[in-house]
Amino acid sequence: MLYKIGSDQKKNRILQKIKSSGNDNLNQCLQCYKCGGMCQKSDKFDYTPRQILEQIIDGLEESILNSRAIWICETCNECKIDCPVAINFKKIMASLREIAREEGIEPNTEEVNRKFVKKAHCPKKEDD
Amino acid sequence: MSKKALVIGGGIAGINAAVELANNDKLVILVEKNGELGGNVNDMAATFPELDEAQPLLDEQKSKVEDNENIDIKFNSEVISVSGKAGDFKVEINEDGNTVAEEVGAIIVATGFNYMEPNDYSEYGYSRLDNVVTSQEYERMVMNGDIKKYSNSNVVFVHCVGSRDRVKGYRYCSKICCTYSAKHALLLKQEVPSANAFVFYIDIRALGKGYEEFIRDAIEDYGVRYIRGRVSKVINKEDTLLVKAENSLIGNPVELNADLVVLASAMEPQKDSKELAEILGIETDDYGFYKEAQSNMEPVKSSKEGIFLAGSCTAPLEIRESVAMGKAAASESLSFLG
Amino acid sequence: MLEKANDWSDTFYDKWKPIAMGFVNGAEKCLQCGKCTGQCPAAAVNPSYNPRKIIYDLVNGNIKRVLSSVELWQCFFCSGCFATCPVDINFPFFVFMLRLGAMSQGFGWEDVKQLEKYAEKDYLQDGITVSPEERNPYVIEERGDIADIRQKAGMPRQREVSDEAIAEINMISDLSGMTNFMKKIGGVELYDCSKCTPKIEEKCKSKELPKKVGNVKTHYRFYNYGVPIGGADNA
Ligand SMILES: Cc1cc2nc3c(=O)[nH]c(=O)nc-3n(C[C@H](O)[C@H](O)[C@H](O)COP(=O)(O)OP(=O)(O)OC[C@H]3O[C@@H](n4cnc5c(N)ncnc54)[C@H](O)[C@@H]3O)c2cc1C
Ligand code: SF4
Ligand code: SF4
Ligand code: SF4
Ligand code: SF4
Ligand code: SF4
Repeated sequence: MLYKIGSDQKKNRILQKIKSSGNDNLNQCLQCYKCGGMCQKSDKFDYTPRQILEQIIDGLEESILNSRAIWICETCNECKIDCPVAINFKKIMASLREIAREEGIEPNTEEVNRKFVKKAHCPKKEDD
Repeated sequence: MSKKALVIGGGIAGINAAVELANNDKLVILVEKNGELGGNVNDMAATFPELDEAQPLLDEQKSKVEDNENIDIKFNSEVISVSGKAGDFKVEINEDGNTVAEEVGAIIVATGFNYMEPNDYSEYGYSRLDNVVTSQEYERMVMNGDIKKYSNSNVVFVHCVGSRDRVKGYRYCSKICCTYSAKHALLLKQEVPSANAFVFYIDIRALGKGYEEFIRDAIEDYGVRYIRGRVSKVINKEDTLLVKAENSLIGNPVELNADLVVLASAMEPQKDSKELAEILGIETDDYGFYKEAQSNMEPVKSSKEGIFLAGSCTAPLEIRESVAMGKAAASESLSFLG
Repeated sequence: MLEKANDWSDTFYDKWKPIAMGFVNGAEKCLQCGKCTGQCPAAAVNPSYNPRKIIYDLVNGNIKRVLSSVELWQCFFCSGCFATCPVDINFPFFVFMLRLGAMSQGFGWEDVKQLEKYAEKDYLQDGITVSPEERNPYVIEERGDIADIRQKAGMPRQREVSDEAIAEINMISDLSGMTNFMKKIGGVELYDCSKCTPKIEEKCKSKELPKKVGNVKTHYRFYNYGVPIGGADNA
């Protein structure tokens, strides 16, 4: 569906939040597709990690927070280990889940990350 | 007695060929169609990948030719006929309306490229919409300070206009527009930090030393937004421009309001390149670029002995490679100059 | 969704090339530049429609995904993509061909069936291509009813077509095979794939789709080119 790119990056809430949670290298992503190919879970994702990243940069909040991928991600960190610019996807996905939860969005898939389910009620939430 | 050499075209490639020959104590005739040397570099604000100012660099090069007594510069001139063979060419030159005959041992062709006017691209509205310009016009805007007025606005750079297009343009890739568009976005960010730069690309082709890092710096350090997708349309909408494209990394169409759209148009062969090829008796490819004797091993030899090629008359090239070819052509031609 | 490139084949494309009178070729020239999708009105409003991706699948031979998709039926032949494509790919013609292919495999008949009424009543009987009854409600709201406008201008409410012309239309329909086709889609029955059991699946596989007049079976299709917002399982 058609979307508009906002020129004002400050209004891009989701980008600001992800950045403030310690991911300041988002624009280093080469869009090389390596992460999606390697992720154990990405065959069940609707968006591969790099697509999520692209959408964060463009501020497509609705489609990210409603996606399956953020819940299925195992936070296994494999994508970061092999990423040529070390994008910390584990952390990004964790933050996205937290944002989604704040917004009251329920996981829309059966295959929720077990780690997340376990800690859903923990005051410390997910660790890094 | 040693023979003279003829260099056709006074762009950066021709200048370097002439200087190189003159430094080897050869007499050189430099034939330039226009009233000044420098060719397309005259329209350049800065050069990638170091962002050096272009005009001082060019002035230095020009002075090497102008101060050199071994080089006879013929402005407003063209070659009208060539006969004879390698080592012993007889050429006629139309110099400012007068025909002069010369004898030369070798010829170096350095007639450069023509910058395509994207008039066929009605979807981009070039020449119909204000604020849609080509990259070359944009370089001039940087030089005369016109881009300063685009503070707080969105500037969109469009890749591959006229290149990689079988319908309205050329099938080849112009090779350097990816890098000079990054340069333009960077210049924008440096001159007008409050402006936003957006670049629409198909692939990023950074084919040279330091070019990839240069483009990544634009993205990472200057916050230039790169969006993968060829721009489909530029529409005039309430005194701004609406740019439509697909972000093919996500797969969604996207829209963007822009105040200035810069088209990275193709570098095409000179309009008269085929006529000159006929006069010289050398071959061109289908587009009109001059053909090398062998594309891997003989990059500066033309299909005819004694005639050499340099610079962007062979293919779209950056300055660095044009200069290298000019110097290489000069050294290869020495063997025909006695 | 994980895809297995080993399953892909390009026989479909090669087979259809000669049938399509030379209009359908050159897909392999596609640069994947996205210029088509960027200006496509259907892509602007549909969550997952994307002509570029369909071409990509066709070239790769991932034809299964194309034919079983809902997206294939979202193009409405405006030809904007053809006009703008830098390598001259006539994509609307591809869609035409692919839809025929999809129907031959039992997809999309229910969409075609919706047009039955227009074809039978408006086109074959009255000789007009725009139905006076089924008009876009938005247009009626904004511009008014075209029948009223015609009347005000002193014209009959509906365009009148001479009997001779209607006879000619019918003749064309007979000769081109359209009449036959209309009979064929007389009754469309939908397989409910969401309630598929191994038994039904077996039946489905073993049996060629019935070609008999008046009763065509058709499969459910899927959003194969992206998930509409709201999750996976509502395809
Ligand atoms: C917008 C833009 C930005 C660019 N930015 C950069 C950059 O940042 N860095 C970089 O390395 N490169 C850049 N380039 C490329 C650079 O301009 C070329 O590499 C360079 O100009 C090639 O030099 P040349 O001598 O081969 O050709 P030209 O510069 O085209 O010179 C050819 C000369 O030959 C003359 N001539 C033509 N035909 C005849 C004839 N028949 N008889 C006599 N004389 C003739 C012409 O008048 C001209 O003076 C850019 C190009 C463009 C279009
Ligand atoms: S592996 Fe890293 S650089 Fe490559 S697409 Fe994924 S996040 Fe980007
Ligand atoms: S951290 Fe998540 S996205 Fe990355 S490889 Fe593991 S499951 Fe995939
Ligand atoms: S260099 Fe880049 S912008 Fe220029 S034609 Fe090639 S891919 Fe397109
Ligand atoms: S515009 Fe043409 S070349 Fe570009 S993606 Fe579409 S079909 Fe392919
Ligand atoms: S013909 Fe179909 S695919 Fe092409 S622009 Fe129109 S709706 Fe989109």
